[in-house]
Amino acid sequence: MGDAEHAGYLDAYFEKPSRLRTWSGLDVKPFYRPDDVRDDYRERLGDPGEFPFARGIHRDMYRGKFWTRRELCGFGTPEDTNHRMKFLLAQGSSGLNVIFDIPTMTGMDADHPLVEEEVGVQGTSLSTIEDMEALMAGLPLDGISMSIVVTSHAAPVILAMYLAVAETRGLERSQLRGTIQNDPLHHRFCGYPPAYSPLNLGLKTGIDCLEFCARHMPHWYPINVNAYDLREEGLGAPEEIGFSFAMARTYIDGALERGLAIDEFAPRMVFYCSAHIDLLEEVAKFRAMRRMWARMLRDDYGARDPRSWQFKFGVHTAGVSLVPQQPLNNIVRVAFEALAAVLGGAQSLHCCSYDEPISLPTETAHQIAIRTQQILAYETGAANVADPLGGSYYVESLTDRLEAEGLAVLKRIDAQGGMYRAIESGWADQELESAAYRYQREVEQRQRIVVGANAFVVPTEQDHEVPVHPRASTAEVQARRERVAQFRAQRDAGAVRAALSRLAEESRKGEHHNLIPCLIEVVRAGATLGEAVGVMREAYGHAYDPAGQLHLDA
Amino acid sequence: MVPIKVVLGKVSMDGHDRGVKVLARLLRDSGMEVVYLGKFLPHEALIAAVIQENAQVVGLSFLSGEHLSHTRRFASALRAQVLDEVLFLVGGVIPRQDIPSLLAAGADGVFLAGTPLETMVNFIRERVGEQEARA
Repeated sequence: MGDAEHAGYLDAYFEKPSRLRTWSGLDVKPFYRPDDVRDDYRERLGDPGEFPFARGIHRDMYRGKFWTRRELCGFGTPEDTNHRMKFLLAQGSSGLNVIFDIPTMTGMDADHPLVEEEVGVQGTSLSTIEDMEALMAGLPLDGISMSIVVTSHAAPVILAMYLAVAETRGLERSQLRGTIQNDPLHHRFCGYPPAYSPLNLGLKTGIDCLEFCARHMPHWYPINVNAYDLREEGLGAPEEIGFSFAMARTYIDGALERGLAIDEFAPRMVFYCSAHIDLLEEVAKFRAMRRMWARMLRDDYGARDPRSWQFKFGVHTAGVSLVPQQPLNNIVRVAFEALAAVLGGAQSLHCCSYDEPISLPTETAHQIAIRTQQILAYETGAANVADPLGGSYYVESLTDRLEAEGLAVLKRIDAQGGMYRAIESGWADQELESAAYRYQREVEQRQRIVVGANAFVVPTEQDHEVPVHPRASTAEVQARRERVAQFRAQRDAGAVRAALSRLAEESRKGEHHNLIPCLIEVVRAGATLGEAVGVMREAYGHAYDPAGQLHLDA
Repeated sequence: MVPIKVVLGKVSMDGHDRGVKVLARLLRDSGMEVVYLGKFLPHEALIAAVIQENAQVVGLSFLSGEHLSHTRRFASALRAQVLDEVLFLVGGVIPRQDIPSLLAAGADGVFLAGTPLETMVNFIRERVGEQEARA
């Protein structure tokens, strides 16, 4: 053994942690004591199922029902994704979670001239009601909980297609159970340039979905406030709280202005949070969010129905915490993050597949992600007791700290004039960009250790190579595009024209006029997603086609 | 010494721009001059910027699986403009298995997510230095 190598072993033996703060950067003490926690159990915590719900929204928590185990899924054609969803159900998934490709998300059809390279890449491609039938073929829509991830300006059309397919099967709207992401503000700073994500239209149709579902779909969650993507963009836990609550307030205000009563829709609002790598910080964050939501809904909005006070959330383990170097280590990261979700009382969970930083999940990677959830549910005992970390001096103190920090962020956004204005002025983008920059600088300077990426590195050629999800071939993409073009050619052109001109007319009846009943007729008549979105875009002052290539043949 | 000039952008319909924006700032910190053009860009817009800015390096970021076809198309458009001496880099969430195809398609370097900045900076300095020595 060389001297240098010997010194290395000695260093490792005596090494101590160098980052004495949470992953979000909050400083922590060596230990916590009773006097670090305020001693007012009823006011601060309450039992699980009691106001302010810090300890969980249900008294019996997972004894009453496990969290919903659902894995995000979407690629290729609707048939490809349908096949994978059935695989996931066969593996023991207890819900589904479908995501669309970017053309679909932005309201562009698969046969649009500029989207050839994007069809079926980031999610599944869906343009017509026939596609929705193929996507849902053989799935029991009255029995399954279906989560749909889509932008707010495409959401009402996608929802209309889902409702139309369910109606064809003889199902009542009230039987459908699920969630539609429909979070207009988040789509703007998590992905799309303004032309592709019209903020005013998204907010209008977002509230349309909220109103329609609140009135007709008692088992449906029409808004899923996406805190997760904010975190992925680089924010810390306090900002995840503050930004997502500020977005939620925008939607609440919009619904109230529409004439809905707070208790009519607040019980149907849900959040989609991140579980990052700092286990205890994440648990404290979920507890803080529950308490803050309960107080905000009761005290600021005057909600009287206890269900309005209950903060309900799904968790996506943090994709950004995963690295392609030594990729099997990601299975371990995901397991810790999933544990945080369960100890924190999540209602549903998506575990990232270990190949997240490499490609879309292979079938095996998807299976491991579900198995991770099942090991948590059936083997670890974590589901037996509600809020098992309640009473920990550290976790209680950190819960209080995150609440205070989250409120401070909320105040800063209020000072910007609220979230809508904070996005329009560019302030929100700046916050995200600066946070991401600081984070990465800490990684580069090794103030944050990421195992396999900036420490304990192995040369690429010696690294473990994992199988990769196969992408659709050019011929498959062409076939997909041709199918949509064919659908277009074969439909009753007169009926489509009539339906679209009615949609144009209804779109001009003002923001408060709900477009979903009309959209159900429009998609039934054979109009595509791109056409329906295009007509609504025009009514709200945007080009029919975000890429400026297409015009409606009227 | 004149700083190395880098043009960065995203050509596909992919909103994941955290990485490329952070990279732009970090490359700037390391002394390069960086122009980040944005996302959802037509290929021609980026190539025009490379010419206009007289950049030595152009980098595309992909996180959503559309890297192969875009890289192929971009490289041939870039070389068709006789920009042979421009260093063309590709980075992001890319399977290792695709690196040979990307290099064959015309990329000069491929950097996977998690690559330390230093590795990229050294690669750029070395290759741009070689170009200039030849010139």
